[in-house]
Amino acid sequence: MSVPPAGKVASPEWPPRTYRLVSATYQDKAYPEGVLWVNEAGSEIELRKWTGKDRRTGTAVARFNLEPNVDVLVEGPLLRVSGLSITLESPGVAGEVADLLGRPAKESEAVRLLSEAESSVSGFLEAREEALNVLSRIKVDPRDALFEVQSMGTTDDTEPLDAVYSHYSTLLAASLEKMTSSLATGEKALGSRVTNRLYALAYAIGAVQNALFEGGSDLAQELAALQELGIATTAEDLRMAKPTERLMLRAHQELVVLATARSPPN
Amino acid sequence: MPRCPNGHEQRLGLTCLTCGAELSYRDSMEELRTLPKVEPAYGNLTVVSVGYPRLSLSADYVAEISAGQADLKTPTAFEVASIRGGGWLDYNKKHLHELRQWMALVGIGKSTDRFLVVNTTDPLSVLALSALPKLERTAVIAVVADQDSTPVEQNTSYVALSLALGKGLPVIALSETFEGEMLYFTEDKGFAAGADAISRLLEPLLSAADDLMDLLERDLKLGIKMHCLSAVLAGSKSVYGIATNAFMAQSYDISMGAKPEEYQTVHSIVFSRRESEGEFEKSFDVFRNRKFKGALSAEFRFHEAASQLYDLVTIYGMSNDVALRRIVSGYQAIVGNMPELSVEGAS
Repeated sequence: MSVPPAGKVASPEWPPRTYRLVSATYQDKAYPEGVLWVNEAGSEIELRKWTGKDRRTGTAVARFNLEPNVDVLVEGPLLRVSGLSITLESPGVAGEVADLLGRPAKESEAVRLLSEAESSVSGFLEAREEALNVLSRIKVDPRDALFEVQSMGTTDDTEPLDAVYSHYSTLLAASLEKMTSSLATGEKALGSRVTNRLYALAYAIGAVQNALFEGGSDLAQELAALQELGIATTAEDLRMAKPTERLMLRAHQELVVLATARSPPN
Repeated sequence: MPRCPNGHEQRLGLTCLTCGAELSYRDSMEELRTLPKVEPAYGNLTVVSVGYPRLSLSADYVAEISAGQADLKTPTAFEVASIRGGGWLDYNKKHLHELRQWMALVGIGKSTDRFLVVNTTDPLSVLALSALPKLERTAVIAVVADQDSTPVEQNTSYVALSLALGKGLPVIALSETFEGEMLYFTEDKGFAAGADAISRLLEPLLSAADDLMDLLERDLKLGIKMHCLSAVLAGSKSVYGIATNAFMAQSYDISMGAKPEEYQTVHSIVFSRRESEGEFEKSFDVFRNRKFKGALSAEFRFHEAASQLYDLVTIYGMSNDVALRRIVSGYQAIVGNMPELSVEGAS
């Protein structure tokens, strides 16, 4: 085994791995033996050759910091990455290494898809929050509130309040459709676990919005549900402006962990 | 609420408390698309003044329709730029549509009762009464033109009153002369004339809006829409002696006089200390028997007040055409020259 290069930290959960080489070629020079050191957490690899009298000391020949979208090609036991050609012990090992090296790209893609999905959920929930805020104002001070939102298409034969409902019904239908469509598209890559969690999150935040709109609730049920979803908050915090935006931000890290989740190495 | 795959209805959470299965919220999302219904609080009383800027009135909602420097619309004001040389037809042509929209926006018909305080000699009165939808529990307190008014004022007033009556609205009429001569004095507030006097007169009336509307509605059922009024404000024993004197005295200064046979109903509302209620009630009976024995209906309403001074307001129901008859000549003189300035032109 070897020591990670200085300046790079290996995750304790994902320790660096080494793979014995059958042969390797780098910059037209052949290396008949050695190891491939892979630090998955730091997205870096090293080609090391054996040196020393006992031929047991690994000395770095080349080190590569891999971009998430690096091309990794596998042909049987042969692996090509970043100008390096390595023949490993078997096609299975080559496949395992390729999978390891391709993981950052997959995770990056998962995070991108997750962000898109979160954005669609936020879009729906923030439209709903705005609608409920307007309705809350209408409930207390209808004249001022309806005057403020008169651009929502009041016509001679439409009640202003009906125009507000009509405006937000259309908006919510479109944003809910966009959300479900985005979640369905993302589910293929993110999996049903993440997608289910996003639906649960959307419903829980919707329940918070309802409770705030109705007023008088201690929000205990909603806080417990948010806690289950990994969001720690307080009733006071929920009662401040724009709770949806804050809750979505707080849910993000937990969702990233879910979306990029993998089993620890054996 | 969400259900688990085994059909157990759930509280919010991730797993079913009954069977431990993972909850799915996908089918519950439609619930969030439906917005809760709201019951806006529009209050009981709306008072809208027309052509009377800066009246000091108290109600759940007070707004004014007036002419000024420029067009300005807020939740409590519909102000239009004055049209130089413009009559009611010019304002109607220019602003009727937008006033209807404004009235809808501020929920003109949403409170329980509505009073419009209208100067019917002002061109905006026709605009306001044209835009006003047909509403129940809505009354007009109107300053109306009289024989001393100009034909243009008589025409405007005639059209405005006709619109109000045509929409089935009860009217309490104050002649322009009566309004011009109104002068009240109270020790706490001093003299009040003009708009201040109208505010002072309306203060007790609108504080009893529910009773006043009830009396007007009762008269409506008798086919009586037109009313006039008289009042004693800040009355006291030292000035009037017994209450009967106050009733009799106020009846000599009625807001629009008519022949005795034209009064059909008489109702008084008194605002005084509780211990005076009996005396006022008896005095009202005396007053009615002396002066309005043949009235179709006569009712007395009492409102408790803290002050030693009392207010007494009496409304008199009368023939619907009393106010119109007095100004019809001016109206017709204008229509003779300009046929579009007829009542039909505003409808």
